[in-house]
Amino acid sequence: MREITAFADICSVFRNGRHVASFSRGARSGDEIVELMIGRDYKDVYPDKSGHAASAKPVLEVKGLSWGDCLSGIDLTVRKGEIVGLGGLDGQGQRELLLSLFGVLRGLQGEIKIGGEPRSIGSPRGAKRRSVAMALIPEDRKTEGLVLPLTVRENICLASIGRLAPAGFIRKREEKRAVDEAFQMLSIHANSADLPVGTLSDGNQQKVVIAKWLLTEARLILLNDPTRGIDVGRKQQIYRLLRKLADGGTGILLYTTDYAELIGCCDRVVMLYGGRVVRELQGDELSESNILAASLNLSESETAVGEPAD
Amino acid sequence: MNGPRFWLTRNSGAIFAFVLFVAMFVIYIVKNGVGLRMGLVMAVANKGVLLALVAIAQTLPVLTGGLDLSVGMTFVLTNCLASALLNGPPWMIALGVIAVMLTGVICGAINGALIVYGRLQPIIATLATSAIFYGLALTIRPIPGGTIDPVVSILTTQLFGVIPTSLVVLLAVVLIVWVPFQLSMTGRGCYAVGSSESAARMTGINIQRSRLTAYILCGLLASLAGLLLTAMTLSGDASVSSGGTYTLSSIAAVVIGGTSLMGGTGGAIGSIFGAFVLRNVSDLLFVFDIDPLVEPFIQGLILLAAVSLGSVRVLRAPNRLQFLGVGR
Repeated sequence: MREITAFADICSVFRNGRHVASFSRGARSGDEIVELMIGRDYKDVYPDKSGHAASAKPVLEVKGLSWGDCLSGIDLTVRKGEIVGLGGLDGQGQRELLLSLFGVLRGLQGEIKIGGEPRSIGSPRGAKRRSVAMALIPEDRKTEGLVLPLTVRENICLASIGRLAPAGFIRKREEKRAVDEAFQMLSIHANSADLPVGTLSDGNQQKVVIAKWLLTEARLILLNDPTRGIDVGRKQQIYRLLRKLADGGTGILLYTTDYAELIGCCDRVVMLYGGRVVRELQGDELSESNILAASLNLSESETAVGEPAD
Repeated sequence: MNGPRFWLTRNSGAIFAFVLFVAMFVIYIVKNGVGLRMGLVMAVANKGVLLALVAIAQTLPVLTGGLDLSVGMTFVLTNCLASALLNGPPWMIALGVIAVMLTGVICGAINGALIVYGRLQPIIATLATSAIFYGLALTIRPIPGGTIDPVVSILTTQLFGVIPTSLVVLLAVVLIVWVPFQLSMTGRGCYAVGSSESAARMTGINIQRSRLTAYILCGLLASLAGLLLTAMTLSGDASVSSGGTYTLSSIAAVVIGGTSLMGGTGGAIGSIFGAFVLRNVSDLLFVFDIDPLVEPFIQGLILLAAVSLGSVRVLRAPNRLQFLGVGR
């Protein structure tokens, strides 16, 4: 959006494959443009924060987590019902942090507690266990999130398959119920659950990824830039869903490259720089200038001058 | 595209193989001019079922994105073992059957372990074990022969006088092995691993168990084919050409039946018809009075036609990236 207003001479808006409007630069405000894009009033993109999570029990506690050169001495807490944002410039160890929590990385140092109990998570399969109950919604849905040739149904049930197949064999009725539940919960648009998931739009594919993990009934959900490449209307649905999950007691750790999302969506934001936690922002501290300053690892006085250190 | 149409697209390979087989069979019966005689049906069934069993076996590793080059030699090894064990009182024969099937399971488990735990390329690992299995078969049966209780040949007769027993065995394998496999967690895991290993891993699928199961079932099914061969020939033969032919024909049957060698799509039903198509070529040549020496030539043409069927879909796709797994 910013790039469009900065560089474009004439802007055109398309929605659902149709031309909606064209106008020259500056003729419409950002909110007006977004309204054109989603086809309805642009209000309350971000749901209200509940704010009562501050005293809840922690679902994830990380102490001194290090991995190679990428992560050093990370301390982090996510409470029940809390959405914690991971901020910072791209590539400051946020992805590695999520992967390390999910048991993908080897040779970790430090302590990870889930629900107050120390756990060592050796694989995504281990992270999925009932005693941990973690879910990771990966960045790349086409290679890590979804098995594109398989059907929507098969993808939705892939993560929770152990629950749908108690004796090792999938129960068709339970599978159907799970798929119906997922379709309703996330309002997935697909002609049929028996189509390959690769035929869905990006937004709906992302909903399938989220649905498949929600069905595992995770108590901690990690998200790696879940709204990248998704249209504004669908983003809003995802924000609402995250808040609804948090209100239901799920702990959420959200990495996003979008500052507005960090400010609008998260109860608390942990800023990473060079694999370290440099600042934690919450409440009124959550502002674009604070986030930008922490992203560049500047102290507040330096930003005031507007001269980056290096 | 809606559900049923997608079902057609997804199973187009199996449907192609089925239609081709039916057409070939009808032409064969009509041209032969003696009608639908039991003898003819038996001959077609017995010839087809052996390769069909080996082809179902091959389908499983292929679905996971692998390949089993030792399937033919497992078949030969179990045939030789059966020719040494299947005699004596009934309990001895029963024990022998179990021992032969167990051998198939062990062969498959070795392949699976090498690939899953040893992280070897399936092609190389099974090429090596293929030679090992052949060596063992030669040790058991240096020259063709064996003393086998003729009671075993019951498997090559008819049930109730009309249904070839070998077809019943095939149906039993489909119902007892393939259908549950498809409905199982492990089976779903095999499809997922074959389509996208990284997504399967990030979803917490038990990749190792899925792969291992595919190779073990492959060995077991090859041993069933070995038992059936023993019942048909009442002898064991450590034949290098037989092992090689069955391995290569099984891969061809899998491909004709619409299973992708890239893994993740297809199924055993297509492979069965693929096997019957390949096995029926010689019969057709016979009724048309064509030199049987051109059989491999015709089989090659059918294989090419089957593979081309897949490429036609790529050419007609609205988005060409779709078939590279990139676009949508």
